[in-house]
Amino acid sequence: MSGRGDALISYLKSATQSRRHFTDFLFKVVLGIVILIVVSPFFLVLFQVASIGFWQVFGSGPGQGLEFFFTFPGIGLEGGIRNALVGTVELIVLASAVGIPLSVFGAVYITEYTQPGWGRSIVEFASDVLAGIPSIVFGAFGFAFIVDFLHLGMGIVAGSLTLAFMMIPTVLRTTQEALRAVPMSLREASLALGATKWSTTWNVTLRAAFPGLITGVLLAIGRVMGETAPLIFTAGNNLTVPTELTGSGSWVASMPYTIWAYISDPREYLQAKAHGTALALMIMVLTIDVIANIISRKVTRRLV
Amino acid sequence: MTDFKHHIEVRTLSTWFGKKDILKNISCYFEDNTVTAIMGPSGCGKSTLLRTLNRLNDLVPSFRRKGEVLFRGENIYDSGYSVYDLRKHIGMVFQRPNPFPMSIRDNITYGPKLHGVKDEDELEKIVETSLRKAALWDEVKDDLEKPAPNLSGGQQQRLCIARALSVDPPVLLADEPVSALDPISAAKIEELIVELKKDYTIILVTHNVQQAFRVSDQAAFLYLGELVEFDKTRRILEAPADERTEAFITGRIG
Repeated sequence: MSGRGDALISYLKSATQSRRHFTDFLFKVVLGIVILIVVSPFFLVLFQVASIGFWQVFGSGPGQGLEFFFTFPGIGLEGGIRNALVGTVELIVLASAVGIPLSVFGAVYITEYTQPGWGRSIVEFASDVLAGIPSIVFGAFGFAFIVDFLHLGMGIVAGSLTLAFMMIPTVLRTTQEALRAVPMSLREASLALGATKWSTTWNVTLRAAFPGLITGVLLAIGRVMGETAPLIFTAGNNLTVPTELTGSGSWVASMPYTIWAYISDPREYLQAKAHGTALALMIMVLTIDVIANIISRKVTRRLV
Repeated sequence: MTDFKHHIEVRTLSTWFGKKDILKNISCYFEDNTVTAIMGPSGCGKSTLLRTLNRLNDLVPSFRRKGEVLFRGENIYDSGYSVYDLRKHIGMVFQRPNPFPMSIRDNITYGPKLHGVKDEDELEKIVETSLRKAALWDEVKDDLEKPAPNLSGGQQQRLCIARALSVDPPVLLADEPVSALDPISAAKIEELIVELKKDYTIILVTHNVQQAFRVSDQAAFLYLGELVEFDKTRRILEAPADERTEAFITGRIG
């Protein structure tokens, strides 16, 4: 302890030794404070959400823990969030089923089958812009185009299609990066064996790019999982689970929408449920991000 | 009728990448069951010449060519010629080991499966003979399901040779196959090349004069896209006819 104190004292002494030492020391302190400010929102958010919602998720009392996730809200919304949990999973699965193949094959075409040039630049520029569009705009577009113009109406189809649109730019660009990271000589090795371009792309290039591709997909899923804005005008809400593909029976609840609805509700007991849902959503997204991180880290070691 | 004596014959071949001319009016031939070394300083066009033989340069959009490459008497650049058949008959080994991100077995069966071999027993046989020919069988026979990228660099390169041999091509192209390896692995692969000469026609790109001397029967010396000399390796190295060849051999250019 005293050794540490001595070290600190001698450090401070050297810091005040001269002007240059002092500036150096000062800068170090400033950077330390900056980094504290930078990381604090994460912990503050986690703390705030957990302080209200923790027992809702991890408690074992009535309506808490597993019961919270596996009962429907029921009368007066006094039950759990089964509708939102199931709804979010359904929305994500449908959105992925539409969005992932489109973006992956789009990326394959752009990266493997076209030469660099204005065509490729336009697609890349468009998807970069698309990735930066605010999610509420996607919601408005989903409402105007899918719900209204295509007459699909609100519900699970419109909601997941809107989410799919949001996934496309992210998955397209990350898939492109993953494909580009595959060494040219791997493709050449396959072609030199007499393989066709398609066979090479499918069996070798995509396989080598797979971990990077999966990382991009998981990040995109994690991102759209927490989106409220695209769903407000497109998915509707539901106190149970959707039973049809169109019409009012197809309306679907989601976790972000439920958080938003419960938090803005005057009934006091809904606050804990809202924060419990938020905590659960954060944990789900965080888990997906961690998995993505592990996969991408494994890969950088492995690629040829 | 065209002359069938040589497996591959290059006739007045010139190539360009965009406006830059790479090979200038090259004519040479590669005899059966010999090792031909293509030598020259870096940037002289030796890899381009090699990759013209299995039309791998076609991947580069700016690639242009004049002249013919005959394989068994047919011009491989004829419009009706199947590039997939060509590459089935002309295998290739690259500068850096580039095994597919699959198991050792799948690396070998990839080629045969492409060309329609489905029978499991036959594939099994191909795996063993290919790996034996590449002198890798004894080292990996118990680990065929392990991922190929886990092998050492030298083993990976021998696996790549086995992979190239899996479709039983009469001709094998090798683009500086040992330059990325340690000396012991390199020596093993050189030995292997000499061994394979019995069954294959081998065309080896190298910038290493000693290596050309050790393994090759005939040699082509390229300098700035020109074919300066083309003859028996021993003759070229012992009594170079051109001063550029001599400068390369003695290490003054390279």
